[in-house]
Amino acid sequence: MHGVEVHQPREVVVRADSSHRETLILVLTIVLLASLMALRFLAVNEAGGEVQLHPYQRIDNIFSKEERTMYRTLTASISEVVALRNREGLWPEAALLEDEEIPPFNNQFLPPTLRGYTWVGYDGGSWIDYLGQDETGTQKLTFILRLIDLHAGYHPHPHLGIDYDPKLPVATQVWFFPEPERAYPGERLPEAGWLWAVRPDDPVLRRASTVAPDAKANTEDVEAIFRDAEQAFEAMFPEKPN
Amino acid sequence: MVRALGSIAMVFIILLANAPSIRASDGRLQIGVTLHPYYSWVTNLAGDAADVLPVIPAHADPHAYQPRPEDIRRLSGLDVIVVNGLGHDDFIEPMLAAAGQQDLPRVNLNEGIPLVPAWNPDVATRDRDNPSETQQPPNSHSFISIISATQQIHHIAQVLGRLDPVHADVYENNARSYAKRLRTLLSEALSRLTTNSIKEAKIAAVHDGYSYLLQELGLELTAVIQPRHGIEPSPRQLADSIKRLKRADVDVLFTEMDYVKGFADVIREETGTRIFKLTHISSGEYTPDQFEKAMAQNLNIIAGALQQAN
Repeated sequence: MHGVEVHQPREVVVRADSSHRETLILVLTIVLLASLMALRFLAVNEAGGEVQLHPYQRIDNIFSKEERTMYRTLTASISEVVALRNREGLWPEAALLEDEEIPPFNNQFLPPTLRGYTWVGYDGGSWIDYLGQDETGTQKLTFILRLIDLHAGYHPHPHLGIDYDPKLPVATQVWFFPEPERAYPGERLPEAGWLWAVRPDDPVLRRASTVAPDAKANTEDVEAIFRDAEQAFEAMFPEKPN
Repeated sequence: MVRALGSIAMVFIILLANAPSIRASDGRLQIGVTLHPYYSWVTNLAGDAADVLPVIPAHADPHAYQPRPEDIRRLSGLDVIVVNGLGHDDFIEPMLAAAGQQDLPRVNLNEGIPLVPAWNPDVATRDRDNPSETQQPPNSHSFISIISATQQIHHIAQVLGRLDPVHADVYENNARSYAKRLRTLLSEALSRLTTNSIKEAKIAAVHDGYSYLLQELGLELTAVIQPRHGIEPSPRQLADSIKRLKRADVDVLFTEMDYVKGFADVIREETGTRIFKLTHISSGEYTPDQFEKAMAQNLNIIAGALQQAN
Protein backbone atom coordinates (compact mmCIF):
# COMPACT_ATOMS: atom_id res chain seq x y z
CA MET A 1 0.00 0.00 0.00
CA HIS A 2 2.95 2.16 0.42
CA GLY A 3 3.86 4.20 -2.54
CA VAL A 4 0.27 5.10 -3.24
CA GLU A 5 -0.25 8.82 -3.07
CA VAL A 6 -3.63 10.14 -2.41
CA HIS A 7 -4.16 13.54 -3.90
CA GLN A 8 -6.39 15.81 -1.97
CA PRO A 9 -8.97 17.48 -4.10
CA ARG A 10 -7.74 20.92 -5.11
CA GLU A 11 -9.98 23.87 -5.18
CA VAL A 12 -9.79 25.82 -8.44
CA VAL A 13 -11.60 29.09 -8.74
CA VAL A 14 -12.95 29.63 -12.23
CA ARG A 15 -13.71 33.27 -12.72
CA ALA A 16 -16.50 34.33 -14.97
CA ASP A 17 -15.63 36.58 -17.94
CA SER A 18 -15.48 40.20 -17.09
CA SER A 19 -19.03 41.41 -16.63
CA HIS A 20 -17.99 44.70 -18.27
CA ARG A 21 -17.13 42.97 -21.50
CA GLU A 22 -20.34 40.94 -21.49
CA THR A 23 -22.42 44.05 -20.93
CA LEU A 24 -20.57 45.91 -23.67
CA ILE A 25 -21.22 43.15 -26.20
CA LEU A 26 -24.87 42.99 -25.20
CA VAL A 27 -25.29 46.75 -25.56
CA LEU A 28 -23.51 46.81 -28.91
CA THR A 29 -25.71 43.98 -30.15
CA ILE A 30 -28.85 45.82 -29.08
CA VAL A 31 -27.67 49.05 -30.71
CA LEU A 32 -26.85 47.25 -33.95
CA LEU A 33 -30.17 45.46 -34.02
CA ALA A 34 -32.03 48.71 -33.34
CA SER A 35 -30.06 50.48 -36.11
CA LEU A 36 -30.83 47.72 -38.58
CA MET A 37 -34.52 47.84 -37.67
CA ALA A 38 -34.56 51.63 -38.14
CA LEU A 39 -32.85 51.33 -41.51
CA ARG A 40 -35.27 48.64 -42.57
CA PHE A 41 -38.18 50.85 -41.50
CA LEU A 42 -36.83 53.73 -43.57
CA ALA A 43 -36.36 51.49 -46.57
CA VAL A 44 -39.90 50.12 -46.32
CA ASN A 45 -41.26 53.62 -45.86
CA GLU A 46 -39.59 54.85 -49.01
CA ALA A 47 -42.73 54.30 -51.02
CA GLY A 48 -45.01 55.29 -48.17
CA GLY A 49 -45.25 58.24 -45.80
CA GLU A 50 -41.72 59.62 -46.03
CA VAL A 51 -41.06 62.35 -48.56
CA GLN A 52 -38.43 60.99 -50.92
CA LEU A 53 -37.17 63.19 -53.70
CA HIS A 54 -35.72 61.63 -56.78
CA PRO A 55 -32.50 63.21 -58.04
CA TYR A 56 -34.46 65.05 -60.74
CA GLN A 57 -37.07 66.52 -58.37
CA ARG A 58 -36.93 69.79 -56.43
CA ILE A 59 -39.38 71.17 -53.89
CA ASP A 60 -40.88 74.34 -55.35
CA ASN A 61 -39.63 76.60 -52.55
CA ILE A 62 -36.38 76.98 -54.48
CA PHE A 63 -37.93 79.46 -56.90
CA SER A 64 -37.27 83.17 -56.64
CA LYS A 65 -40.37 85.37 -56.46
CA GLU A 66 -40.49 85.99 -60.21
CA GLU A 67 -39.85 82.34 -61.02
CA ARG A 68 -42.61 81.41 -58.60
CA THR A 69 -45.01 83.74 -60.40
CA MET A 70 -44.22 81.96 -63.67
CA TYR A 71 -44.58 78.57 -61.96
CA ARG A 72 -47.94 79.55 -60.45
CA THR A 73 -49.13 80.94 -63.77
CA LEU A 74 -48.14 77.76 -65.60
CA THR A 75 -49.98 75.50 -63.17
CA ALA A 76 -53.01 77.81 -63.27
CA SER A 77 -53.18 77.38 -67.06
CA ILE A 78 -53.49 73.60 -66.92
CA SER A 79 -57.27 73.35 -66.46
CA GLU A 80 -57.90 75.55 -69.48
CA VAL A 81 -55.36 73.74 -71.66
CA VAL A 82 -56.92 70.37 -70.80
CA ALA A 83 -60.43 71.73 -71.36
CA LEU A 84 -59.39 73.00 -74.81
CA ARG A 85 -57.95 69.60 -75.68
CA ASN A 86 -61.14 67.90 -74.50
CA ARG A 87 -63.18 70.20 -76.74
CA GLU A 88 -60.94 70.14 -79.82
CA GLY A 89 -59.52 66.63 -79.57
CA LEU A 90 -55.94 67.90 -80.03
CA TRP A 91 -53.45 69.51 -77.72
CA PRO A 92 -53.76 73.25 -78.33
CA GLU A 93 -50.78 75.00 -79.87
CA ALA A 94 -49.09 77.73 -77.85
CA ALA A 95 -50.36 80.32 -80.36
CA LEU A 96 -53.95 79.24 -79.73
CA LEU A 97 -53.43 79.58 -75.99
CA GLU A 98 -52.15 83.08 -76.61
CA ASP A 99 -55.24 83.89 -78.69
CA GLU A 100 -57.42 82.49 -75.89
CA GLU A 101 -55.74 84.98 -73.54
CA ILE A 102 -54.38 82.28 -71.24
CA PRO A 103 -51.25 83.29 -69.33
CA PRO A 104 -48.32 82.77 -69.48
CA PHE A 105 -48.79 82.02 -73.20
CA ASN A 106 -50.32 85.47 -73.50
CA ASN A 107 -47.92 87.75 -71.73
CA GLN A 108 -50.22 90.74 -71.12
CA PHE A 109 -51.07 89.07 -67.79
CA LEU A 110 -47.46 88.86 -66.67
CA PRO A 111 -45.26 91.43 -64.95
CA PRO A 112 -42.82 93.13 -67.37
CA THR A 113 -39.81 91.09 -66.24
CA LEU A 114 -41.52 87.85 -67.29
CA ARG A 115 -42.70 89.05 -70.68
CA GLY A 116 -39.51 87.90 -72.42
CA TYR A 117 -40.69 84.30 -72.44
CA THR A 118 -41.84 82.81 -75.72
CA TRP A 119 -43.66 79.48 -75.85
CA VAL A 120 -43.59 76.60 -78.29
CA GLY A 121 -45.60 73.39 -78.02
CA TYR A 122 -43.99 70.02 -78.81
CA ASP A 123 -46.86 67.64 -79.44
CA GLY A 124 -46.05 64.01 -78.75
CA GLY A 125 -49.57 62.75 -79.47
CA SER A 126 -50.41 61.41 -76.04
CA TRP A 127 -48.47 64.21 -74.38
CA ILE A 128 -47.36 67.75 -75.03
CA ASP A 129 -44.45 69.84 -73.80
CA TYR A 130 -44.75 73.63 -73.79
CA LEU A 131 -41.22 75.03 -73.80
CA GLY A 132 -40.80 78.56 -72.48
CA GLN A 133 -37.49 80.33 -73.15
CA ASP A 134 -36.59 83.84 -72.11
CA GLU A 135 -34.97 85.23 -75.23
CA THR A 136 -34.15 88.49 -73.48
CA GLY A 137 -32.01 86.65 -70.94
CA THR A 138 -33.65 88.55 -68.08
CA GLN A 139 -34.65 85.34 -66.33
CA LYS A 140 -32.44 82.44 -65.37
CA LEU A 141 -34.73 79.50 -66.12
CA THR A 142 -36.20 77.70 -69.10
CA PHE A 143 -39.52 76.04 -68.28
CA ILE A 144 -41.41 73.09 -69.69
CA LEU A 145 -45.06 72.53 -68.89
CA ARG A 146 -45.68 68.84 -69.63
CA LEU A 147 -49.17 67.35 -69.87
CA ILE A 148 -49.48 63.58 -70.32
CA ASP A 149 -52.66 61.72 -71.27
CA LEU A 150 -52.27 58.55 -69.20
CA HIS A 151 -55.07 56.83 -71.12
CA ALA A 152 -53.61 57.20 -74.59
CA GLY A 153 -50.87 54.69 -75.19
CA TYR A 154 -47.15 55.43 -75.18
CA HIS A 155 -46.02 58.40 -73.14
CA PRO A 156 -42.89 59.57 -71.35
CA HIS A 157 -41.91 58.78 -67.78
CA PRO A 158 -41.73 59.63 -64.94
CA HIS A 159 -45.20 60.77 -63.96
CA LEU A 160 -47.63 60.64 -61.08
CA GLY A 161 -49.92 57.64 -61.00
CA ILE A 162 -49.89 54.58 -63.20
CA ASP A 163 -50.56 54.07 -66.89
CA TYR A 164 -54.32 54.05 -67.54
CA ASP A 165 -54.76 55.38 -64.00
CA PRO A 166 -58.52 55.32 -63.34
CA LYS A 167 -58.31 58.35 -61.06
CA LEU A 168 -55.93 60.44 -63.12
CA PRO A 169 -56.60 60.99 -66.83
CA VAL A 170 -53.91 63.64 -67.28
CA ALA A 171 -50.62 63.92 -65.39
CA THR A 172 -49.21 67.45 -65.25
CA GLN A 173 -45.68 68.60 -64.52
CA VAL A 174 -43.56 71.74 -64.52
CA TRP A 175 -39.90 71.17 -65.36
CA PHE A 176 -37.13 73.73 -65.45
CA PHE A 177 -33.52 74.08 -66.48
CA PRO A 178 -31.23 76.74 -64.98
CA GLU A 179 -30.51 78.52 -68.27
CA PRO A 180 -32.74 81.13 -69.94
CA GLU A 181 -32.59 79.69 -73.47
CA ARG A 182 -32.18 75.95 -73.13
CA ALA A 183 -33.07 74.00 -76.27
CA TYR A 184 -35.89 71.44 -76.21
CA PRO A 185 -34.36 68.19 -74.94
CA GLY A 186 -36.95 65.73 -76.28
CA GLU A 187 -39.05 63.50 -74.11
CA ARG A 188 -36.32 62.28 -71.73
CA LEU A 189 -36.18 65.23 -69.39
CA PRO A 190 -34.45 63.68 -66.33
CA GLU A 191 -31.67 62.23 -68.46
CA ALA A 192 -31.11 65.67 -70.00
CA GLY A 193 -30.60 67.20 -66.57
CA TRP A 194 -33.96 68.93 -66.28
CA LEU A 195 -35.57 69.32 -62.86
CA TRP A 196 -39.17 68.64 -61.92
CA ALA A 197 -40.72 71.17 -59.51
CA VAL A 198 -42.94 69.48 -56.94
CA ARG A 199 -45.01 71.01 -54.18
CA PRO A 200 -44.28 70.01 -50.58
CA ASP A 201 -47.73 68.36 -50.48
CA ASP A 202 -47.41 66.95 -53.98
CA PRO A 203 -49.01 63.50 -54.23
CA VAL A 204 -46.11 62.41 -56.45
CA LEU A 205 -44.00 62.37 -53.29
CA ARG A 206 -46.34 59.97 -51.54
CA ARG A 207 -48.48 58.17 -54.10
CA ALA A 208 -47.37 55.47 -56.45
CA SER A 209 -45.68 56.99 -59.46
CA THR A 210 -43.40 55.88 -62.22
CA VAL A 211 -39.73 56.84 -62.08
CA ALA A 212 -37.08 57.67 -64.61
CA PRO A 213 -34.88 54.68 -65.52
CA ASP A 214 -31.75 56.05 -63.84
CA ALA A 215 -33.43 57.27 -60.68
CA LYS A 216 -32.34 54.63 -58.21
CA ALA A 217 -30.02 56.73 -56.10
CA ASN A 218 -32.12 56.66 -52.95
CA THR A 219 -32.61 52.90 -53.02
CA GLU A 220 -28.91 52.37 -53.63
CA ASP A 221 -28.01 54.59 -50.68
CA VAL A 222 -30.14 52.56 -48.30
CA GLU A 223 -28.77 49.28 -49.66
CA ALA A 224 -25.19 50.52 -49.15
CA ILE A 225 -25.96 51.40 -45.53
CA PHE A 226 -27.33 47.90 -45.00
CA ARG A 227 -24.22 46.34 -46.51
CA ASP A 228 -21.90 48.43 -44.31
CA ALA A 229 -23.88 47.59 -41.19
CA GLU A 230 -23.84 43.88 -41.98
CA GLN A 231 -20.08 43.93 -42.61
CA ALA A 232 -19.47 45.71 -39.31
CA PHE A 233 -21.65 43.19 -37.53
CA GLU A 234 -19.78 40.26 -39.09
CA ALA A 235 -16.42 41.80 -38.16
CA MET A 236 -17.47 42.07 -34.52
CA PHE A 237 -19.01 38.61 -34.29
CA PRO A 238 -17.16 36.34 -36.71
CA GLU A 239 -18.70 32.93 -37.17
CA LYS A 240 -16.56 30.22 -35.50
CA PRO A 241 -15.76 27.15 -37.65
CA ASN A 242 -17.38 23.97 -36.36
CA MET B 1 -71.59 76.86 -12.28
CA VAL B 2 -69.93 78.34 -15.37
CA ARG B 3 -68.99 74.86 -16.53
CA ALA B 4 -72.58 73.63 -16.05
CA LEU B 5 -73.94 76.55 -18.05
CA GLY B 6 -71.37 75.87 -20.75
CA SER B 7 -72.45 72.23 -20.95
CA ILE B 8 -76.12 73.20 -21.20
CA ALA B 9 -75.28 75.70 -23.95
CA MET B 10 -73.31 73.03 -25.87
CA VAL B 11 -76.19 70.54 -25.63
CA PHE B 12 -78.54 73.26 -26.81
CA ILE B 13 -76.28 74.05 -29.78
CA ILE B 14 -76.01 70.37 -30.75
CA LEU B 15 -79.77 69.84 -30.46
CA LEU B 16 -80.43 72.86 -32.61
CA ALA B 17 -77.75 71.85 -35.06
CA ASN B 18 -79.26 68.42 -35.50
CA ALA B 19 -82.77 69.71 -36.03
CA PRO B 20 -84.10 69.00 -39.51
CA SER B 21 -82.88 71.52 -42.04
CA ILE B 22 -84.40 72.68 -45.24
CA ARG B 23 -82.84 71.07 -48.29
CA ALA B 24 -83.61 72.31 -51.75
CA SER B 25 -86.64 70.37 -52.94
CA ASP B 26 -85.63 70.62 -56.61
CA GLY B 27 -82.40 68.65 -55.98
CA ARG B 28 -80.11 71.58 -56.72
CA LEU B 29 -76.66 71.26 -55.26
CA GLN B 30 -76.30 73.03 -51.90
CA ILE B 31 -72.79 74.45 -51.70
CA GLY B 32 -71.38 75.91 -48.48
CA VAL B 33 -68.57 78.48 -48.48
CA THR B 34 -66.48 79.64 -45.54
CA LEU B 35 -65.05 82.93 -46.85
CA HIS B 36 -66.43 85.91 -48.73
CA PRO B 37 -64.35 85.49 -51.91
CA TYR B 38 -65.53 81.91 -52.20
CA TYR B 39 -69.14 83.09 -52.17
CA SER B 40 -68.48 85.33 -55.17
CA TRP B 41 -66.53 82.62 -56.99
CA VAL B 42 -69.10 79.87 -56.52
CA THR B 43 -72.13 82.05 -57.32
CA ASN B 44 -70.42 83.06 -60.56
CA LEU B 45 -69.71 79.41 -61.40
CA ALA B 46 -73.07 78.02 -60.42
CA GLY B 47 -75.40 80.64 -61.85
CA ASP B 48 -78.88 79.19 -61.39
CA ALA B 49 -77.63 75.60 -61.27
CA ALA B 50 -76.94 75.45 -57.52
CA ASP B 51 -77.46 77.29 -54.25
CA VAL B 52 -74.53 78.89 -52.44
CA LEU B 53 -74.76 79.22 -48.67
CA PRO B 54 -72.23 81.22 -46.68
CA VAL B 55 -71.37 79.62 -43.36
CA ILE B 56 -70.72 82.78 -41.37
CA PRO B 57 -72.87 85.92 -41.19
CA ALA B 58 -72.08 88.70 -43.67
CA HIS B 59 -70.43 91.08 -41.25
CA ALA B 60 -68.69 88.55 -39.03
CA ASP B 61 -64.91 88.57 -39.13
CA PRO B 62 -63.66 85.06 -39.96
CA HIS B 63 -60.55 85.70 -37.85
CA ALA B 64 -62.66 86.12 -34.70
CA TYR B 65 -65.82 84.23 -35.60
CA GLN B 66 -67.66 82.19 -32.96
CA PRO B 67 -70.21 79.72 -34.37
CA ARG B 68 -73.88 80.25 -33.54
CA PRO B 69 -76.47 77.44 -33.37
CA GLU B 70 -78.29 78.67 -36.47
CA ASP B 71 -75.01 78.72 -38.43
CA ILE B 72 -74.34 75.09 -37.47
CA ARG B 73 -77.90 74.09 -38.35
CA ARG B 74 -77.48 75.36 -41.90
CA LEU B 75 -74.57 72.99 -42.47
CA SER B 76 -76.73 69.89 -42.24
CA GLY B 77 -78.37 70.68 -45.57
CA LEU B 78 -75.14 71.01 -47.53
CA ASP B 79 -73.93 68.67 -50.27
CA VAL B 80 -70.39 70.07 -50.44
CA ILE B 81 -68.35 72.81 -48.80
CA VAL B 82 -65.60 75.03 -50.18
CA VAL B 83 -62.85 75.69 -47.63
CA ASN B 84 -59.54 77.49 -47.36
CA GLY B 85 -57.99 74.76 -45.23
CA LEU B 86 -54.90 76.76 -44.29
CA GLY B 87 -56.05 78.50 -41.14
CA HIS B 88 -58.54 81.08 -42.38
CA ASP B 89 -61.50 78.88 -41.59
CA ASP B 90 -60.40 76.71 -38.69
CA PHE B 91 -63.89 77.20 -37.26
CA ILE B 92 -65.44 74.94 -39.89
CA GLU B 93 -64.31 71.48 -38.76
CA PRO B 94 -65.84 71.68 -35.24
CA MET B 95 -68.99 73.09 -36.82
CA LEU B 96 -69.23 70.21 -39.30
CA ALA B 97 -68.70 67.74 -36.45
CA ALA B 98 -71.47 69.40 -34.43
CA ALA B 99 -73.76 69.24 -37.45
CA GLY B 100 -73.02 65.54 -38.01
CA GLN B 101 -71.43 66.44 -41.36
CA GLN B 102 -67.93 65.07 -40.77
CA ASP B 103 -68.10 63.23 -44.10
CA LEU B 104 -69.31 66.19 -46.14
CA PRO B 105 -67.24 66.48 -49.34
CA ARG B 106 -64.80 69.37 -49.09
CA VAL B 107 -63.27 71.40 -51.87
CA ASN B 108 -59.99 72.32 -50.19
CA LEU B 109 -58.80 75.20 -52.32
CA ASN B 110 -55.22 75.21 -51.15
CA GLU B 111 -54.64 71.57 -51.93
CA GLY B 112 -52.90 70.96 -55.20
CA ILE B 113 -51.86 74.52 -55.99
CA PRO B 114 -48.44 76.13 -55.59
CA LEU B 115 -48.47 78.34 -52.51
CA VAL B 116 -46.39 81.36 -51.66
CA PRO B 117 -44.36 80.87 -48.48
CA ALA B 118 -45.17 83.07 -45.50
CA TRP B 119 -43.04 86.21 -45.49
CA ASN B 120 -39.72 85.76 -43.77
CA PRO B 121 -36.95 88.37 -43.95
CA ASP B 122 -34.33 85.71 -43.20
CA VAL B 123 -35.06 83.61 -46.28
CA ALA B 124 -33.65 85.80 -49.01
CA THR B 125 -32.03 83.39 -51.39
CA ARG B 126 -32.72 79.79 -52.16
CA ASP B 127 -30.41 77.05 -53.23
CA ARG B 128 -31.58 74.89 -56.12
CA ASP B 129 -28.99 72.23 -55.29
CA ASN B 130 -30.11 71.90 -51.71
CA PRO B 131 -33.61 70.46 -51.90
CA SER B 132 -33.73 69.75 -48.17
CA GLU B 133 -33.92 73.46 -47.36
CA THR B 134 -36.16 74.24 -44.40
CA GLN B 135 -39.78 74.66 -45.38
CA GLN B 136 -41.50 77.97 -44.78
CA PRO B 137 -45.14 77.63 -43.76
CA PRO B 138 -47.45 78.55 -46.64
CA ASN B 139 -49.27 81.85 -46.86
CA SER B 140 -53.02 81.18 -46.58
CA HIS B 141 -54.16 84.27 -48.53
CA SER B 142 -54.22 82.64 -51.95
CA PHE B 143 -57.72 84.11 -52.39
CA ILE B 144 -56.34 87.68 -52.58
CA SER B 145 -54.95 87.10 -56.03
CA ILE B 146 -55.96 86.74 -59.65
CA ILE B 147 -53.79 83.86 -60.90
CA SER B 148 -54.31 81.60 -57.89
CA ALA B 149 -57.97 82.58 -57.77
CA THR B 150 -58.52 81.49 -61.37
CA GLN B 151 -56.80 78.18 -60.66
CA GLN B 152 -58.99 77.60 -57.62
CA ILE B 153 -62.13 78.62 -59.53
CA HIS B 154 -61.39 75.98 -62.19
CA HIS B 155 -60.78 73.44 -59.44
CA ILE B 156 -64.17 74.20 -57.87
CA ALA B 157 -65.82 73.87 -61.29
CA GLN B 158 -64.26 70.44 -61.80
CA VAL B 159 -65.39 69.16 -58.40
CA LEU B 160 -68.91 70.55 -58.86
CA GLY B 161 -69.02 68.96 -62.32
CA ARG B 162 -68.23 65.57 -60.78
CA LEU B 163 -70.88 66.00 -58.06
CA ASP B 164 -73.47 67.36 -60.47
CA PRO B 165 -72.62 66.01 -63.96
CA VAL B 166 -75.80 67.43 -65.49
CA HIS B 167 -74.45 70.93 -64.98
CA ALA B 168 -70.75 70.15 -65.55
CA ASP B 169 -70.67 72.22 -68.77
CA VAL B 170 -72.34 75.15 -67.02
CA TYR B 171 -69.70 75.15 -64.29
CA GLU B 172 -66.85 74.84 -66.78
CA ASN B 173 -68.10 77.55 -69.14
CA ASN B 174 -68.86 79.92 -66.29
CA ALA B 175 -65.42 79.28 -64.80
CA ARG B 176 -63.78 80.12 -68.11
CA SER B 177 -65.63 83.39 -68.62
CA TYR B 178 -65.25 84.43 -64.96
CA ALA B 179 -61.51 83.71 -65.07
CA LYS B 180 -61.22 85.85 -68.21
CA ARG B 181 -62.96 88.76 -66.52
CA LEU B 182 -60.67 88.50 -63.50
CA ARG B 183 -57.56 88.34 -65.66
CA THR B 184 -58.65 91.48 -67.46
CA LEU B 185 -58.43 93.30 -64.11
CA LEU B 186 -54.85 92.10 -63.76
CA SER B 187 -53.80 93.14 -67.26
CA GLU B 188 -55.36 96.59 -66.78
CA ALA B 189 -53.34 97.12 -63.61
CA LEU B 190 -50.17 95.75 -65.24
CA SER B 191 -50.59 98.15 -68.16
CA ARG B 192 -50.26 101.04 -65.69
CA LEU B 193 -46.94 99.78 -64.33
CA THR B 194 -43.57 100.22 -65.97
CA THR B 195 -40.52 98.06 -65.44
CA ASN B 196 -38.85 100.93 -63.60
CA SER B 197 -41.77 101.67 -61.33
CA ILE B 198 -41.82 98.03 -60.31
CA LYS B 199 -38.06 97.76 -59.84
CA GLU B 200 -37.76 100.94 -57.84
CA ALA B 201 -40.81 100.41 -55.65
CA LYS B 202 -40.04 99.84 -51.98
CA ILE B 203 -43.15 98.41 -50.44
CA ALA B 204 -44.17 97.33 -46.97
CA ALA B 205 -47.44 95.89 -45.72
CA VAL B 206 -49.05 95.46 -42.33
CA HIS B 207 -49.23 91.73 -42.96
CA ASP B 208 -48.33 89.43 -45.82
CA GLY B 209 -51.87 88.74 -47.01
CA TYR B 210 -51.18 90.58 -50.26
CA SER B 211 -48.08 88.63 -51.28
CA TYR B 212 -49.86 86.60 -53.97
CA LEU B 213 -51.29 89.67 -55.63
CA LEU B 214 -48.11 91.73 -55.33
CA GLN B 215 -46.08 88.92 -56.90
CA GLU B 216 -48.51 88.77 -59.81
CA LEU B 217 -47.68 92.42 -60.41
CA GLY B 218 -43.95 91.74 -60.14
CA LEU B 219 -43.68 93.50 -56.78
CA GLU B 220 -41.74 92.44 -53.73
CA LEU B 221 -42.35 93.28 -50.12
CA THR B 222 -39.48 94.96 -48.31
CA ALA B 223 -41.04 94.59 -44.87
CA VAL B 224 -44.07 93.24 -43.04
CA ILE B 225 -45.11 94.99 -39.84
CA GLN B 226 -47.30 92.50 -38.00
CA PRO B 227 -45.34 89.63 -36.46
CA ARG B 228 -48.26 87.30 -37.25
CA HIS B 229 -51.60 87.78 -38.92
CA GLY B 230 -53.92 89.64 -36.54
CA ILE B 231 -51.21 90.23 -33.93
CA GLU B 232 -50.45 93.88 -33.27
CA PRO B 233 -46.73 94.60 -33.05
CA SER B 234 -45.37 95.34 -29.58
CA PRO B 235 -43.86 98.83 -29.02
CA ARG B 236 -40.41 97.32 -29.48
CA GLN B 237 -41.39 95.47 -32.68
CA LEU B 238 -42.97 98.68 -33.97
CA ALA B 239 -39.79 100.62 -33.22
CA ASP B 240 -37.75 97.96 -35.04
CA SER B 241 -40.12 98.10 -38.01
CA ILE B 242 -39.82 101.88 -38.17
CA LYS B 243 -36.04 101.57 -38.20
CA ARG B 244 -36.21 98.96 -40.97
CA LEU B 245 -38.61 101.04 -43.05
CA LYS B 246 -36.36 104.09 -42.72
CA ARG B 247 -33.26 102.09 -43.57
CA ALA B 248 -34.93 100.51 -46.61
CA ASP B 249 -36.35 103.88 -47.65
CA VAL B 250 -39.83 102.39 -48.04
CA ASP B 251 -42.15 104.54 -50.20
CA VAL B 252 -45.46 102.82 -49.70
CA LEU B 253 -47.14 101.01 -46.83
CA PHE B 254 -50.22 98.95 -47.57
CA THR B 255 -52.55 98.69 -44.62
CA GLU B 256 -56.06 97.34 -44.31
CA MET B 257 -59.40 98.86 -45.13
CA ASP B 258 -61.33 96.41 -42.98
CA TYR B 259 -59.40 96.87 -39.76
CA VAL B 260 -58.31 99.85 -37.71
CA LYS B 261 -54.54 99.95 -37.55
CA GLY B 262 -53.52 102.71 -35.18
CA PHE B 263 -49.87 101.79 -35.47
CA ALA B 264 -49.94 102.67 -39.18
CA ASP B 265 -50.39 106.32 -38.24
CA VAL B 266 -47.35 106.12 -35.97
CA ILE B 267 -45.35 104.69 -38.86
CA ARG B 268 -46.50 107.45 -41.21
CA GLU B 269 -45.57 110.14 -38.69
CA GLU B 270 -42.17 108.60 -38.00
CA THR B 271 -41.16 107.66 -41.54
CA GLY B 272 -43.18 109.83 -43.90
CA THR B 273 -44.18 106.67 -45.77
CA ARG B 274 -47.36 106.99 -47.81
CA ILE B 275 -50.15 104.76 -46.59
CA PHE B 276 -52.71 103.06 -48.83
CA LYS B 277 -55.55 100.83 -47.70
CA LEU B 278 -56.34 97.53 -49.38
CA THR B 279 -59.24 95.23 -48.68
CA HIS B 280 -58.79 91.77 -47.29
CA ILE B 281 -62.27 90.81 -48.60
CA SER B 282 -63.20 89.18 -45.32
CA SER B 283 -66.48 90.88 -44.45
CA GLY B 284 -69.39 92.81 -45.94
CA GLU B 285 -72.50 91.79 -47.82
CA TYR B 286 -72.27 88.57 -49.76
CA THR B 287 -72.68 89.44 -53.41
CA PRO B 288 -71.59 87.73 -56.62
CA ASP B 289 -69.54 90.76 -57.66
CA GLN B 290 -67.93 91.51 -54.29
CA PHE B 291 -64.67 89.77 -55.23
CA GLU B 292 -64.38 91.44 -58.63
CA LYS B 293 -65.09 94.88 -57.20
CA ALA B 294 -62.71 94.41 -54.29
CA MET B 295 -59.89 93.14 -56.51
CA ALA B 296 -60.43 95.94 -59.02
CA GLN B 297 -60.19 98.37 -56.12
CA ASN B 298 -57.03 96.72 -54.72
CA LEU B 299 -55.33 96.65 -58.11
CA ASN B 300 -56.28 100.26 -58.78
CA ILE B 301 -54.90 101.34 -55.39
CA ILE B 302 -51.64 99.44 -55.86
CA ALA B 303 -51.07 100.79 -59.38
CA GLY B 304 -51.95 104.31 -58.21
CA ALA B 305 -49.64 104.04 -55.20
CA LEU B 306 -46.72 103.08 -57.39
CA GLN B 307 -47.42 105.85 -59.85
CA GLN B 308 -47.44 108.37 -56.98
CA ALA B 309 -44.30 106.90 -55.44
CA ASN B 310 -42.41 107.39 -58.70
